[in-house]
Amino acid sequence: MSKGFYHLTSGMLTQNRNLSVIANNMTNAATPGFKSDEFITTTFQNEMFSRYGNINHEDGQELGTTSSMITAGEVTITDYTQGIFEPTDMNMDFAIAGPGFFQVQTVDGLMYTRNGAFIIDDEGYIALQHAGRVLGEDNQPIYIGTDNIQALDDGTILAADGNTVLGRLGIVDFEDYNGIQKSKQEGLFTAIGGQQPAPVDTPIEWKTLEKSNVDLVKQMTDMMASERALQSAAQVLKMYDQLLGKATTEIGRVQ
Amino acid sequence: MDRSFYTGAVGAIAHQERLNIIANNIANVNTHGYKNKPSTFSECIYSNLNAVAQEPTDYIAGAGVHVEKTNVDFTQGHLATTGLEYDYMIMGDGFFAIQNPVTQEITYTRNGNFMTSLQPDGNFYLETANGKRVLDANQNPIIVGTLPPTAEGEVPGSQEMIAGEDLIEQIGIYTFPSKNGIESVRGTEFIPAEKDGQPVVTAGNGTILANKALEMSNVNLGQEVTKMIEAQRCYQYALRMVQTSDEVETTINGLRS
Repeated sequence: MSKGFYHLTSGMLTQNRNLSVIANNMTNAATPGFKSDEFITTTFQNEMFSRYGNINHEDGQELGTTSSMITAGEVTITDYTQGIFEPTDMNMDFAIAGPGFFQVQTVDGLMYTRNGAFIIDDEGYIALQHAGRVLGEDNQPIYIGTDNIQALDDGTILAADGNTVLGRLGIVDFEDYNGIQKSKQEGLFTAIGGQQPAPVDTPIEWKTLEKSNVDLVKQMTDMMASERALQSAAQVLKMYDQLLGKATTEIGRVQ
Repeated sequence: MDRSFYTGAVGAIAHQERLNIIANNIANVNTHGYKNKPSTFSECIYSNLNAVAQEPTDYIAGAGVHVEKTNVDFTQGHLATTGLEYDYMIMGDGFFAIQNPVTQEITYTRNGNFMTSLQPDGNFYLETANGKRVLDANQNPIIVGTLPPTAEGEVPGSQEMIAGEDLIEQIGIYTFPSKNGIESVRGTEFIPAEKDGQPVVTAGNGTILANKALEMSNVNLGQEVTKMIEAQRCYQYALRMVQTSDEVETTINGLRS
């Protein structure tokens, strides 16, 4: 079979996966703390051509290299640009005004998030729904007991009287953002490669949520480019099919 | 079908749900005692695009979005003077406790539009428009007046009813240590969750009752309409994704026609 077949098929497969990533970005255009993903494609390394002899089937004689046009997906990278702020009137909504992450203690370990839409869990600690408890700057969960709290812009949580300090939200940041990636769980990031984050003093906005940083114009154009690339590959594939059809059915036919 | 098709569909469903919640808020912009319900989204689970499920790779894509939670915004609404004898508004934190006389179930509300109603036992109880009895600080129904017993054939005399403003000290106002889990049922009634703690009677503490007035809905129409426009646009984008995915499927299907 021709090489072209496989090149085009891998191209179509890649564009299909690209569409999956774009679809997730577009539907999450309104999710607080969401960071948009970008799909990166690479090519295989140049492929070695070799020819095997008629008599000796052991060694191939190298003829040269050809550039392979197979595009395969490599990674999806995340864009950590700050989203814009949306003021809400909820006591338990926080947003980080700058770089940094909240720490969440989940059943699968320590994870990080930008989503500040917190709740009180059943024992009275600050938690992220379906995830786990949010840690303070002492790396312990913060007990509040009631959602009648006040918060200062350095992350300190005060009781309703405005004086009793209940805790302080712990914000951490990573030196190398290549060391974190989106975990399988919604809205959370995990540290890979054992990188340890350092505490930072980024200010916090209370009663605010950080909106998604998805740029819908970019996603739309990426989606259209991806779709058209896929359709072009399909067209050429049809031509290949016709060609091979001729080769198998018409050439050499005994009339 | 590809993932992008389902991701788009899941997104469209989530935004549709959000539109439903916003529409409910807007419809209740004039309901007394109604509390605005903002909703928040959350992403769906991520999975590998080209590897075994448990393997940690960088090559992942999410599966869309879903409505994570709908909060209740307990900001105080404005006061509306009605002049009706048994209308009350809570100025500050707290709820009225109302009880269903048949099921004995207690719910809580901010809607103070009450009236007197004669029950078979000859007492006038303070009740809501749908027949639930308002409770005092000891969780007992409040009696506003009694029908004097009449002999056979005699026209009943006029009954003594306690005036609206004199009932203020009897009506029980309850607060909860935490309001984070309170759910709203049947319009303006609320049921607390386990984690919100036991209802506590507030005495003083800056909470007073105003008579002959009602609390207006705290829905901010400008904000809700803006959110409605946003939800509408996101819905369109999600459907555009479904359409694109469908075209891709058509192309693939037409490879060998």
